[in-house]
Amino acid sequence: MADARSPWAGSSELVALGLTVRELRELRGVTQRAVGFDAGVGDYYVGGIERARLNPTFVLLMRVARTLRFTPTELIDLYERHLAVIDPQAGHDIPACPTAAALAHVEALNARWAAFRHAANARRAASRIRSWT
Amino acid sequence: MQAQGIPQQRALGRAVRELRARRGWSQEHLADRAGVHRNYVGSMERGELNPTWRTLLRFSAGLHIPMTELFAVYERQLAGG
Repeated sequence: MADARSPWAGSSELVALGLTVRELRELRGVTQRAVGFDAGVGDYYVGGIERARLNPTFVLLMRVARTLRFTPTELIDLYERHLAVIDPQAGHDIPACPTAAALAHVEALNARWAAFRHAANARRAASRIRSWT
Repeated sequence: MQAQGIPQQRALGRAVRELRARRGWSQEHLADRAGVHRNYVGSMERGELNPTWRTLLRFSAGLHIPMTELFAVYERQLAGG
């Protein structure tokens, strides 16, 4: 796991963006690695965006959207919807540091994702055992 | 630099220029409002820069235009250019 971390990690805007990218990706049912490969970045990068640790550039985001076959408008609409839930005060005012609400949201997001991965690993392990016996 | 040739960057630059012109502001005024150097606005409008998400949000805040509108203009510029 790369340690790359934006000073803005965990800010409402990046959390909303991360949720957006994850939701679009899961709608298409593709892996972070596949998206990263198509968009031309390392496989840690898409995960970094989704966990709100990275502040990606515009062109990369547009490449990710195109890879997932969503229009920029669809991306920004979903982003605004997520941002309105996370931080209704966000509006046009960019806070200087991550808010406590945003950090709590990241924690909840990571926990949910860890549980999902744990379940997937368990399923995979179970199927492996079945195939051996 | 390869930056000049990236269509997304050029379309974004044209979108920012269009929205700034709609306001009737100078590059310097937008730079002040967005909290960036005035050279940054010029470079971005020429499609030489690839701003990060936070920087893009500063532009939308500086222009006092929602991101949805910025993206709508961007998409139109990308299709037209």
